Amino acid sequence: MKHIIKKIWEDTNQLTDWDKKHLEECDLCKKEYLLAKKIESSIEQLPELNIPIEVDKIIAKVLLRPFYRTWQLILIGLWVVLSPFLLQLNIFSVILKSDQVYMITILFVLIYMMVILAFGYHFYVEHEKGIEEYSQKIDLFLENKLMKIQK
Amino acid sequence: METINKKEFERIVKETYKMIYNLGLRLFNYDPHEAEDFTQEVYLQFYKNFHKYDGKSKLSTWIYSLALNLGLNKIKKNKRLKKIQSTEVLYESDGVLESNPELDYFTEIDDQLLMDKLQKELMNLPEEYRLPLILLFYEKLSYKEMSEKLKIPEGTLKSLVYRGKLRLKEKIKELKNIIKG
Repeated sequence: MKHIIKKIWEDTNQLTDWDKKHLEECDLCKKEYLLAKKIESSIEQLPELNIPIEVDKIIAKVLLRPFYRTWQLILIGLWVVLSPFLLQLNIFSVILKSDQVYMITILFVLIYMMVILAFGYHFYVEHEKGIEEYSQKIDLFLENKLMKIQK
Repeated sequence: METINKKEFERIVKETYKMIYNLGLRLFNYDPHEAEDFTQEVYLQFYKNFHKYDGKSKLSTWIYSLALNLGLNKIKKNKRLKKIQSTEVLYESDGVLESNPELDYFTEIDDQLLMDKLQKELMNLPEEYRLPLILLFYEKLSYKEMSEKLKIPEGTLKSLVYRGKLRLKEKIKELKNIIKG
């Protein structure tokens, strides 16, 4: 009699009618099948763990999270992407003489870098402030919760 | 665009967070910190994407499937299971697979004890074996779904499930020896 042990351990749900009939006749394969099923059902019945978790903190973190200001990001992105193209177009050359074009281009690059730096600094400060405000808001939220519970 | 108010959001989180947190534990190696970060990310996505909820399924079911997708994406991105793809996993003939006339041992072990032992050993299995087993038997995903979501070939997943089960089988033998000893 040919055993089907390998097939059983591969996938108990893929057994054919012939395999099932074989299980009725072969004690060895039947035991393997029962054990494989036992392993599968132990996974199906994994218990939920009751580990404490700060659910209020999760709620606060989600509700008070400062969401990205999309329009600001779009503006910065456009500026960064388009400005070098403006330089490349050399629009000044149409109306100015060559030495003036040179000076204006340098000036334009300087202004461009200053604006980028100013914007960068502004958003860095805002970001830092945002994080601080965010954690203060969370603390306040949790304190209020605690006070309500104590009442 | 339908949004959710804060009170309603709080109520839903309190009703479902244990389920989501436990999913996080199962998906991320039973690491409580990762599971907590995951839970937070799930509710953030839920809050942002609430307008996509069409009411066809129960809200808890919707959150669960959102969480499962998010978790599987995270696993895929983390490339934790990447090594599986590079490792050739074959259906080799294992010693444990050979006919074992002493297989009666598992019927002699108390059912609850056996279940506890198997569940404990499952947690100790290497991630590459444990995760496919959990996704297949607990989360009820098909091999096809797992393969699509984790970007791992179906054959590899089948092989991992097979090997994972054999490892658990070996552990039951150890339990028998402990009881007899």
